[in-house]
Amino acid sequence: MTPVLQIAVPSKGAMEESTLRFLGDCGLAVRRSNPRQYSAPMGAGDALQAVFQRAADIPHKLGAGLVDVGITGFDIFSEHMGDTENVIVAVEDLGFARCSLVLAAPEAWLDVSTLEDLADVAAEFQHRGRSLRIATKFPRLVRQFLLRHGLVSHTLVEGTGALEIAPSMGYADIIADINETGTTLRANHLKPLVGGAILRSQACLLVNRARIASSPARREAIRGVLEMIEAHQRARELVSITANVEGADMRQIAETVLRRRDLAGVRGPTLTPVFDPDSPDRVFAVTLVVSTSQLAEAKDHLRSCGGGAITVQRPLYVFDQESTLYARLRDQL
Amino acid sequence: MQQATVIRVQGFYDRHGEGYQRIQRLVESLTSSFALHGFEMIDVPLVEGLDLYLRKNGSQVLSKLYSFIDPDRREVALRPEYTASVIRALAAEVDRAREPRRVAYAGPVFRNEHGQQEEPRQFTQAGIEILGDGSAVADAEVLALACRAALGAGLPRVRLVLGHLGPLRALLTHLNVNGHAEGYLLEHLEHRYRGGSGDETVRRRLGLQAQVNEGAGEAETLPEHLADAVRGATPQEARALVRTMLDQMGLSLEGSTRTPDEIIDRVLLKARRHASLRGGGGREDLERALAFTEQLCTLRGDPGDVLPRAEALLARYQVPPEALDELRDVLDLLRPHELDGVTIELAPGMARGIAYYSGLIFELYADQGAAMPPGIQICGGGRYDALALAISGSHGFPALGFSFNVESLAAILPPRSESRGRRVGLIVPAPCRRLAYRLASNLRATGLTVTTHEPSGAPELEKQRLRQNGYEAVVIFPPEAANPPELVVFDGRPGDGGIEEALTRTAAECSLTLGSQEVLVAGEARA
Repeated sequence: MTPVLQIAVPSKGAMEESTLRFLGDCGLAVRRSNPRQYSAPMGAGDALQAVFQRAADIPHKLGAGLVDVGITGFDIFSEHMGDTENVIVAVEDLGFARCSLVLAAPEAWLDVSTLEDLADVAAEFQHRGRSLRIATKFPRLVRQFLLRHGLVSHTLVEGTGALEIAPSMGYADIIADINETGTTLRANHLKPLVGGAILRSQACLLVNRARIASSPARREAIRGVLEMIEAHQRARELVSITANVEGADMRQIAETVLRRRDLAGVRGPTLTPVFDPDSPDRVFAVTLVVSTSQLAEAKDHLRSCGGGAITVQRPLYVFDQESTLYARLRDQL
Repeated sequence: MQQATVIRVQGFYDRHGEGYQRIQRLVESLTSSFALHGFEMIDVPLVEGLDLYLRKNGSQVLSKLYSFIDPDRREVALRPEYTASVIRALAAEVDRAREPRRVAYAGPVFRNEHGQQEEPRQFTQAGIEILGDGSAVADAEVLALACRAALGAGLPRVRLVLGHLGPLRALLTHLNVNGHAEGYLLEHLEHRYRGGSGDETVRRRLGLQAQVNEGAGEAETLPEHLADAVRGATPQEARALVRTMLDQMGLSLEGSTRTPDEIIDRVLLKARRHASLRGGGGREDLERALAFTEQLCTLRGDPGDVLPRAEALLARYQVPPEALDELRDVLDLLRPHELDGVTIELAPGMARGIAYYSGLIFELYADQGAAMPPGIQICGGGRYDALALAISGSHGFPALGFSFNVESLAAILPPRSESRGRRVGLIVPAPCRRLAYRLASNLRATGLTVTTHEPSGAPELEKQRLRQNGYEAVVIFPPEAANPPELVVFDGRPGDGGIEEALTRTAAECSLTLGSQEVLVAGEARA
């Protein structure tokens, strides 16, 4: 059977690894029998097919309608696509491959710490008949940014591979490149400039508008994908905490727990009887679902209600009545 | 996979029929006004090296440049306007000839409007340049021409808004503010003049407001220490001092494309700026300049009212009153041009995108009466005396000009019913082609628009279709070449001798007799 929805995923390196891990976590694991296979079924059933593509090619393949959906970096999408009506960003924050596109100057440039300093240096260069050379893999985004900020006199040096070496090798004065933790920049004696953050990025999910809009089957398939992603993302923020609490009866325990309404879940705590032969009908397992940041507080609260044997679990998925992500996409189609 | 539909690129529009005619008529009207004033047409490439525009334009236009890498790996751009190209093309010639050159242009320009999906990215500019004339007489002449061309194109009234960069530049000279600060203040002036809000950005850029400076290292605080340390030292002593300090701090200046001395000199420059801002003098000047720009851009209105207020403002800031002289001169020189239908307004705080404007600047609006909002700008321009040198690198001369946005002009002009060429249709079966084509050629030579059609279906329906499409007459050739063709004249006045006579005469020249003539009068038929 031919698949209903083709989803382009990055085929190389760290981006491939994190995408596959993410899809697995969303219950949409790619079932690839060997790593050199360029397409493979995805999730349960055979409606979804993952197609492995270079991350930089994915926006073009989507724009041309060769695939229905794609996962790639928002930086790559912005550089290679700009604003287009063919491609919709359905999820801009998948929560992995986080990075920034930044302007970075040599640490030796003690006089340069901000974008304004850089503009001064560029003007000084121009005065001497030189042009500030900037090495980058993102010429479109970098040029737009520089022009918007009035840094007019510059030359872009397009490069691939490790750009961090360009200033010390002398083929560029500064660089504009992806920065995740700052470690690589520091190791190469470069520093990011204040005001020089061109774009903050993470992995995003893109869809081809026409291909999704024109087919009810594809719409149903993308709804399934978005639901799983959303449920997984929502689950990541929540924990389920259970404690055995002893009290006069179920109502009295519930009321004690509800004294902290903010910690008692969306509708209220779940109480389940525990058959304790020593205290028959007096022990209940109280379960609360709270955000991860409230865990410590919820634990203390349950203790103060007389709770013990506290266990904490992470839900795998949390589904709402309707998928917000899909509703938003549907509005844009 | 199904073939994707080819769609129009966002922001670009197809134009045909009346929409096309309208733009063409306006271009003709404007360029003939220019020609009557002695401007000769020039055409320049659609594509230029990116560098040309980087030398000229302000960030407002540059951020909308349609630039790309061409197949030969050159950085090029579609022209966002004409002036840069015109100057590039004629700089050497104008410099050599030592006499002013007057040129006019008209054609499409391209600006990549981000995010605004419906905003057109291609529009038509028609304008002029005077290269090599720095006189106020030329200023006034250019203003008068812009107004006359707009009125000639069909606008009943126009509003001419005049500004001048003299007052602001005079203040900045007076306060000794230059370099980047000057550029920032000019940009800020335009932003405020156009109704932009807030001065936080410009304050930060001017260094009047501290930046939130995450991750600032030792280097960032360096100027603070330095300012005191190098006070009174000679440049050589200061450099040596900085080197020693950096060595002690374990900071290296090697391993980059700038020499240690270049870096040290700018560290010292920064230190002096910090010190002067801290010391109050520099800060006070920038604050004054900022306050001046704020007040300047509130001035706008009738010259008799605005001039005295501008004079008072200059006096308050101890700027020499001569800063307004050029504007006064231009106003005086405009008077003998006797411009009817033109309301003149002064706006000394007006700034226009390009930092190269050096004196007079102006904008032209369709005047919709005092009660109406400012309206749509249709033309803008001014003087850019430093531009030629900046673009050519070696030929400096004064220059000024303006350009109309033809689509804006078209949008506000009332639609005009223009008579199309008089049309005649020939319905031609195969055996009559030679004869019919000869008749068509001869008719075209008399100035008629002639189209030929294969017979398709009933002649009555065919006549009706042509009539609805604005044809004045149709000649129907019979299936046999031996029979005479039939002439039908639509909506003609019986016996008025117009198209009927022309057709009969031309047919006779082709040794053709038109038989069974029929003139239809407003739906009625006459044999």
